[in-house]
Amino acid sequence: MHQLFIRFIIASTMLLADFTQAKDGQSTIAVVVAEQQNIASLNLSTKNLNLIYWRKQLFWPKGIRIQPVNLGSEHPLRIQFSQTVLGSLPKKQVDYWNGQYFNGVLPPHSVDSEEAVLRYVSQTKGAIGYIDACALDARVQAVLWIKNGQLSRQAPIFSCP
Amino acid sequence: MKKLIILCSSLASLLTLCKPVLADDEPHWSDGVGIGGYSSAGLIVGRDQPAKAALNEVSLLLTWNGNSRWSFFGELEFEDPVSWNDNQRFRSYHSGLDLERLYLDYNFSEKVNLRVGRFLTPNSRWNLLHAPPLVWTSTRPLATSQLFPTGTNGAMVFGAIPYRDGAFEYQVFAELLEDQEIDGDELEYIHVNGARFSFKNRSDIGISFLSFNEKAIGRDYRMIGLDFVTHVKETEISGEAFQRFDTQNQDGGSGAYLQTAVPLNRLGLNNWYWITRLESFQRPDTGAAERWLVGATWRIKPSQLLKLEFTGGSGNHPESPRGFLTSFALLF
Repeated sequence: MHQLFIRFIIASTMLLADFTQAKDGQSTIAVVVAEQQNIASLNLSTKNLNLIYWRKQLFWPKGIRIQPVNLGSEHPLRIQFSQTVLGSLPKKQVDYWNGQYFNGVLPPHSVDSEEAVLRYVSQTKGAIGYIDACALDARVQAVLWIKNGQLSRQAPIFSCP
Repeated sequence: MKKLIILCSSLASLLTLCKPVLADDEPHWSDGVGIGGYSSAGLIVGRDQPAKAALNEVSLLLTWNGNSRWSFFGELEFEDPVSWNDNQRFRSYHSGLDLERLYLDYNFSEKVNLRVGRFLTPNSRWNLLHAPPLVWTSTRPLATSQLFPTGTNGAMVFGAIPYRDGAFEYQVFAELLEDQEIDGDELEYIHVNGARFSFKNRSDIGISFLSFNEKAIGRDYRMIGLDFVTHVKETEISGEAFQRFDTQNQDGGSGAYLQTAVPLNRLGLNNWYWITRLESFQRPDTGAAERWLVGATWRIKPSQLLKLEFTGGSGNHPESPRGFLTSFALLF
């Protein structure tokens, strides 16, 4: 009985930990577009988010230019997003972006805070960004989610402090 | 006169673009315009030629990405504006303006884009990223400049298709207009057609096909090329190989290189890289040559490189001098 109780406590603790934060202190990330945006018209999938942030896909299906926004290269959410979606750390992408610059393509616009992402996305036509899922508010809507290194369309279970 | 016209129009464009921007401005055609460029300067103490110091080039990049599906890109290069060598002292008479690239893109979708104008022939990774601040060495592998046309005037269809956690990319192109002006040391090609297919993931791998006529020797060639870049731990490994065939499927020239860039962080030299490269090259008219290169490159900033290298090998090719070379390159 005593062992069963200890196992229950351990299992509950692990489950709770999973609810609040992903592994290794990682956050649940929401990929967001403006609140008024018709999500179906974007035809956004887990695969083409990668193309958008490598600036290989420049337009939404209806011809509006995509305006992706990044957090600063040292921001923990940027590092988590970059590893999951682009498969590398921001500092490892310098050569790629220098090469793109040489061909006239600039990297996504970069801002310093999640509030700045919210403002940019809500006020810029065609914008897409990402924030901690707990920072979601009425100005934006989530289109994709990142948790435990996985990108998905389904909202994961998460809780906020 | 032509140079003066290009210079004046470039300055006029710059002045237009530098107008003050006010917060309440209405959208303007110049929104989405970007100007940048790159430059490099270096010193060659060559085995086969007099020592030479030069400002190698100043290149201006002009981009326009409006709110439509159209975009524009241009690169104007001021080649060899100032140089000095042991025999001739200061000189600048070889300098010249060169329109490296000038094209319009139209985006139908991410899978289908149309490009019309002058663009870099997309059959070699080095050729597509040949700017000095983007490459580890001052010299360019012979195989990437002496076997095929480096630029094409024509049309290209290109796009990217997501595949697993990477992207498959393609470029199919054809020459529509022959080069109107050939530099003194440039090989002339006509009837250029080709395609490139690449996959970008943790590694980049590409294969290209090209057909063309080399005007000076009046022969048709087909060429296949392979290229890759990958990272093993922190070391960058890259290489390319090209093989040309004539119309009788006989060897029409070939070349390859393999290069590594090893970070020297463990030796306490942060942002220094040890570079090694081996090259082979042969053309029916000039014969075979080999090159080896060892050197060190310091990435001072992400956009600035200082390169020191020593090159040896067989065959005298002025495009790839043997000896000691150093250069500084920056993007701006």
